[in-house]
Amino acid sequence: MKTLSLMLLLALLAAPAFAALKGQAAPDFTLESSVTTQPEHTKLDQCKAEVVLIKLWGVR
Amino acid sequence: MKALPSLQAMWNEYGGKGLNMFLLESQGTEEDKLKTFLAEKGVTAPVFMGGLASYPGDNGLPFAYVIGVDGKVVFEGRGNYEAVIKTELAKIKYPGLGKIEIAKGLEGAAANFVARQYAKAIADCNKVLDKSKDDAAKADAQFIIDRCNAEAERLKARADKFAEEKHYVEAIAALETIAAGFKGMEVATAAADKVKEWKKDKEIKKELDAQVALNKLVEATKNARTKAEKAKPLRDFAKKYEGTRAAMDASVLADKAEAG
Repeated sequence: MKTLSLMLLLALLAAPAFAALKGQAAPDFTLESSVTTQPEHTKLDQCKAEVVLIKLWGVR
Repeated sequence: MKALPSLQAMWNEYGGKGLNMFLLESQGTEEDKLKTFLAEKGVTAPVFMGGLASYPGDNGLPFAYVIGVDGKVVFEGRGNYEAVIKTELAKIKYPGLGKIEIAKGLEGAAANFVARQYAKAIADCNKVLDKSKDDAAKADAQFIIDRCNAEAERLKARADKFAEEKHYVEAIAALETIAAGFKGMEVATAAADKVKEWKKDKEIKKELDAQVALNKLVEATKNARTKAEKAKPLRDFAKKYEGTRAAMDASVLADKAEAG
């Protein structure tokens, strides 16, 4: 039982500490110039009643 | 990133039809290297450098957020978010309008807005404002008129920005959208007059011809097999059109091709 508790504690400590946004009002943002196509909208408030995909990614 | 081709396919299909895409390169890759990488992959979907403090992810890449039509986050994390996007897109009746539901009798005005027939949309709305006794319909009519006027302002700003950079092809396209969409209105006449004025200007005509020629050259050399095959025509172009913005753009593209 002690081992199980310890494992649970370790798992909780190892879990990524990030604030979940799902279900919440999306925080506003403004972006500058795109390095490819300059989109018509670069601010969240310009995307009302539309769908927005924000994808964090890396080349490497 | 493996998902780039599918993201590009999604952009080709839904970009401008209700889907806004912001791909944030978050590993600090240098701009030149990033542009070369994206050009090689054929990515035209909007890519930005850096992250967003309010969308931090979980320290691992990739990481995605999908914001639904009601302005709430409907997906965060990894995995298949395409189905979520499609579900949200299916809720949009009038892409770009900024409203999901519109009062009865204004469906035509909303459809005209989407088709960029702004003058027709405004005329439809003015009829409702004049005759309707329904406050909700009047509010929606005024909302659509305001959206049309905001579009005119946005397109004018876009034209000014591109003209400042001497990218007249894009600047003229923005003004022509105003001229066609607001036909019969003062704003359309002003836009059409500006286009005429630009096209008469010898310096601007030179820039326009060079930009059109560069676009054709880029298309023609798209499948060049070697760096030299791609760079040399661009260097020749830069010499031929020296002094124009397109020549500067060609030199930058040649540098990238050689570095690639």
